[in-house]
Amino acid sequence: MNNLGQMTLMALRYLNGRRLRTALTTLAIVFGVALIFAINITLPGAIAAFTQSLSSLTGADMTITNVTGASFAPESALPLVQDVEGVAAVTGVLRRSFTLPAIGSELGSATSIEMIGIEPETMQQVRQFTISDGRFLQPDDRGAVVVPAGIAEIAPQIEIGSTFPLISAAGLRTYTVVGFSAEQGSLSQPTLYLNLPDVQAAFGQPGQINTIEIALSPGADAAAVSEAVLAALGDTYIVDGGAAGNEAFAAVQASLLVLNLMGVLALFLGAFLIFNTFRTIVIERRRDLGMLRAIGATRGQITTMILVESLLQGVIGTLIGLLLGYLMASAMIYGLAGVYRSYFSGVSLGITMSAGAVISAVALGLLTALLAGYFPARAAGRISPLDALRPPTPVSVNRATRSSLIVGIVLMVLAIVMLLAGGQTAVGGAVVFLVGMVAAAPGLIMPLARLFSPLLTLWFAREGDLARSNLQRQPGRAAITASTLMIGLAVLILMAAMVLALGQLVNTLADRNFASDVFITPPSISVYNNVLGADASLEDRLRALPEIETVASLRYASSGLDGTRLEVLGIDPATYPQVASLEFSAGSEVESFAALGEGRTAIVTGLAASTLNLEMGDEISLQTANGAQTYRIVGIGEDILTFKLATLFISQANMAADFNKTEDVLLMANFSPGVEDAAGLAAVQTVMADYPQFTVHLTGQYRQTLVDTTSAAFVIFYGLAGLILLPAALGLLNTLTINILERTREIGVIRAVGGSQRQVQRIVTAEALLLGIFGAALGVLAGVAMSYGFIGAFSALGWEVPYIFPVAGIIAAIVVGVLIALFAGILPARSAARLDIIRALQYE
Amino acid sequence: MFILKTESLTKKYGSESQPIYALRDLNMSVEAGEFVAIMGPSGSGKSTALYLMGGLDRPTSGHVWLRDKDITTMNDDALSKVRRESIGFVFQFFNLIPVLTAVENVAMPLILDGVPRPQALERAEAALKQVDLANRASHRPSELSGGQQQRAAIARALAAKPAIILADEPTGNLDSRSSDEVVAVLRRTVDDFGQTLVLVTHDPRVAAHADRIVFIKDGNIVDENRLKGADRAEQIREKLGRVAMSEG
Amino acid sequence: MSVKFTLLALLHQRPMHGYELGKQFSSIMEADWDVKPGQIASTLARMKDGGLVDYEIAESSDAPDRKVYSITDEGRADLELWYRTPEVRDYRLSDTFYIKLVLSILGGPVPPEQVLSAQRRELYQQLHNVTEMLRKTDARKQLPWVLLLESATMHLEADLRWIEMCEAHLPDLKHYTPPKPPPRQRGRPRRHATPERESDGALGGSSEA
Repeated sequence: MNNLGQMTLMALRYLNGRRLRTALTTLAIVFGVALIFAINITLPGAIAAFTQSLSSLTGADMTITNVTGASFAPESALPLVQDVEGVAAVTGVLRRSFTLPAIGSELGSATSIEMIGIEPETMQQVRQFTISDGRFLQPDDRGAVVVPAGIAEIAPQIEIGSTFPLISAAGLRTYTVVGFSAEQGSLSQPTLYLNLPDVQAAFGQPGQINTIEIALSPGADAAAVSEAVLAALGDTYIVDGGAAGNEAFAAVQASLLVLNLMGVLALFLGAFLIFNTFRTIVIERRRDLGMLRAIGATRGQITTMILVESLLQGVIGTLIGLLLGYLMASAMIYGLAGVYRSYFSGVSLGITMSAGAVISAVALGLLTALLAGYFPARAAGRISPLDALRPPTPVSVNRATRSSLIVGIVLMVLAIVMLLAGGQTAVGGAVVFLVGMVAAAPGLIMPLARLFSPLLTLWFAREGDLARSNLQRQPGRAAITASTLMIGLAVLILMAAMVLALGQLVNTLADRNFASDVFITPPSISVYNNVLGADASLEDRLRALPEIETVASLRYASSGLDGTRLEVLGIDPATYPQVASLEFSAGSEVESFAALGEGRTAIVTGLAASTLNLEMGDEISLQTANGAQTYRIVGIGEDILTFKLATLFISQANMAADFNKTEDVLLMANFSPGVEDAAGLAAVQTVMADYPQFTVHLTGQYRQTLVDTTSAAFVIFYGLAGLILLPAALGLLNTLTINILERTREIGVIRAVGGSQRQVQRIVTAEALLLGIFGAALGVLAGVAMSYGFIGAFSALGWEVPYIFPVAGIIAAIVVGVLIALFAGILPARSAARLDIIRALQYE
Repeated sequence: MFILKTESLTKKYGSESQPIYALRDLNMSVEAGEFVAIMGPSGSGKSTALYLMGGLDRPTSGHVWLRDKDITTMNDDALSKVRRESIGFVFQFFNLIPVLTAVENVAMPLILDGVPRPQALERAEAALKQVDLANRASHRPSELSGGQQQRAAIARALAAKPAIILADEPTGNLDSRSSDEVVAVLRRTVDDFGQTLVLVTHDPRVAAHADRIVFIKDGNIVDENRLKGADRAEQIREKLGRVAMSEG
Repeated sequence: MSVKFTLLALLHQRPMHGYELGKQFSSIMEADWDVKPGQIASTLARMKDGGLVDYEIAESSDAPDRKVYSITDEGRADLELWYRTPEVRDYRLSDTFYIKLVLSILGGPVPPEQVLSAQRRELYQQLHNVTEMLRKTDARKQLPWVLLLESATMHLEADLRWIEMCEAHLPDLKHYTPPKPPPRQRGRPRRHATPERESDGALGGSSEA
């Protein structure tokens, strides 16, 4: 590929010849790649860390868990496994990772720990433990713990014989260190080994295990053993499954998707920029390219040449993007850590380099460059050799814009029909509308220019007309630039509308949740999996307080239905309605809660109903720790804690029977009549001292905090809109700069015939402003359509959200659009004004 | 033996009802080693003829034979190959790639044809020598004078050792002195290397270098002038040099 | 061409005898001069009478004594005046081809297009010839000759352009009717060569044929 070498050389020289333009265009790629890379080295790492903490990655040959992750009695499973051929040794384990209370930990910086209860004798037949100091556990040890040697790094005070308190379901317990294991492991989540009974007591699950570890006989076929084990145990169990799915996982994955989508959108805008630049390049080099055709370059060679050039920018942009992405990731972790923790406590944010992240970012960056370069490159290939001989002729655009205007309008009409249809179709409609706007933009430039120029004349009496006709000369380029801004501003409006709608939703739901006086929450209110709750002792002690009239609790289990994960919350139908309620969309408070006490019944959230297509009275076959059970749906409702998730409410009795769970993860209590808030709170807090994993809130305050945190999380939405607006600003800067480069000679003439620096500056500023107004006008239209579509889609998810016209968002979009335009215009305007007249006149 | 021959070459623009003929039934042939100048007023179709001969454009009807091949029936890639290997173009506006040095520009058609870069550059150097520009090989076009740029463009046309060179107003953008240099270089390729050359010009001084001048008007040949060789040189000398004297 | 001033210009360089003057005539201008020794002698004699030149007798052992001429102050003044007087070139009023063309426009056995065409072919042939001469001439060594050739080239070029103009005008000229009396003043041909010879007249056969 000797040609390719030459083309690369030429491309490099061309790019070098127009450094400023190259830099601006490359920035577009840099930005998208950086965003995608940053996202993909942080979030998947978080997910992986999270999954790892849940899955049973141990030294055993094979692990068996309940399909719901629930605990079970060893007698029911261990003997069956023991008898399977190829199994050499078996041991039962109770293990769990949980978040430590934010204050007062003896374990230094560890935010969560994994606690594993073992039977030392059988365990040592399954896997080998290396003890670096002290001794291993003895069967009759009580309160003894083996900690990882690495813990010295975070808690240097811990040595053999030292003791430390740790939370448990039944209050604080104290453990004595007897040995250090040589096992490596995460220091943010150290693994502690204890005797099984200790852990069973700590978790409030006496006589239960949740994992069976197996050592295989030498030469045994793992696959065959696995099959045999499953055959023996039935489908309630899984081998080496871990707990891949869990609520936080789903939530993080959703945000990963959304953020990646933003990255792709940023790259899409980048592609716009590159497309724009290369279209200009092809027009500029029409004669060169024609000459190359004349001296025998084939269409393919010309196309390749332009592609090589855009690919080169892609390569440079991608490399810089990776670097910037790394920096962005660090900044993101630093900036978002607070918001993140309040929702997904225990999910550690960190940078995890992976080949996948690099490859996907590189592939997307290069692909974008190639794709954006492709159409101009193809156009370049179509340049006739005769173009080398003709004087450059202005390209006629009228027909093209008219046809694209028609296409755009047809698309927009279609989109409006889709928007009105509502549901998921509406989301499609929003996207189609945006595409339609992009298509129609070149055709809209002329009429819009005419529409807005009187406005412009107010500020720029003399320069306005010139600026307008300058834009009209290249309606395609102006349209693409305005489209870029349009997308950015539309996203801004969409975000504003969504924040508005979600805020409304949160407020409505919060009213339901917070009927109680006191709210007792675990460290994370979204991810119960990582929470160590309390056993019945806490509820009993609270109820015993004279200040407390009613106590209700939430219990948690996870389940599945037809392959979809479901969160299951256990409530006491008798007490729960006294302290809280749900927002029902089917069924009613009285009937549904009453029905929950009778047989296997469930109330589902709107999201669960919509994703699983459930209705009142439906019977579902729910996966439980003890096999599938049939539940009947007696209501559809949700509250602020559950509206984001597919959740089932069942009675605590059913949860104990079917999921072996009796642990309370969240409690609510009402004070006895006449008890002051302060006195009641003080009383509750005396009890809670033993359960530092919980935080006690007076509901009134907590409600506000919760609403605030939720709203704070929405800041992310605005952040994303900002990230999309930045490339839009770059696009504007790019177009203005290219416009000026192209018109250098003209500007020289304007200056030569007596235009002042200030006038030239004002022409460019007016141009920028006009582009900004175009973008804002288009963006408002697109934004309204998009927000209507997306919020319409909320109802399809089971959330009844009214569409509130995002007035503030629209105003913000217009202001931001104009500001971005003015800001992007500063540099080009200045450089235009400062052009040396003589040089400008000689410019080619 | 002809190198290039046109057969009822016709190029028509405009609608079927009101056709405008840029070229109408043009028949001409160019012999090996011949230097032909095509002249005619603007709009006569002389440039169109050249473009069609070079396969830059496609005729409405008729044929162009390059040796034994009809280039009017070729597809674009085959035509590109012919342009690369058998035809050298020289344009009015030089059309050098601004970011490449003179020698790289000259090597361009060879590189496009797949000649390895070192060989291509070597041959390009040789071509530059042929046009007396060896000492400017590593200059960018912007560092060359108009005449030098055009000579580099001629070297580019020569580099692939084409069967024929087609030049479109090669001196149209040059002052008379540079123009003389450029035509002299073209003439030399014919005299010294037996190059076949067709040149379109409106400049009599340029056309005077040719072996044959073809006059085109309204899309067809109106006259043709075979210029006799240098054997009459002494005659001129005699005529020009005899100065009649009178007294006082 | 004036023999008188040529001789004065040569003598202005240095004194020379008659034979030397004759040789210089040819060599300096690299041209064949249509001048006879007798003409030089008579011109010198006339100038001596007019006080423009003077001579001394130089004695020589191997050859007969010679008159070595030199320029006088009066001759120098005369020469200077000649240099400073611009030459007025006659236009082609006397050109035969012009007559031919005009007559063919008025009507004849050969249409004007063909007249123009034939003339053009000849002019191109001449231009071709001069161009070739020019290419073979080294400007550094034969400057006067190059200047002469350039002059020829440019006149030929001008003639060719004029023919182009005529061709462009032909459609209009077809409808041209010549005015009756008085006859065109500038149209009367003069048959004899003017002192300053015109390039095409000197070279081409047409105007002399």
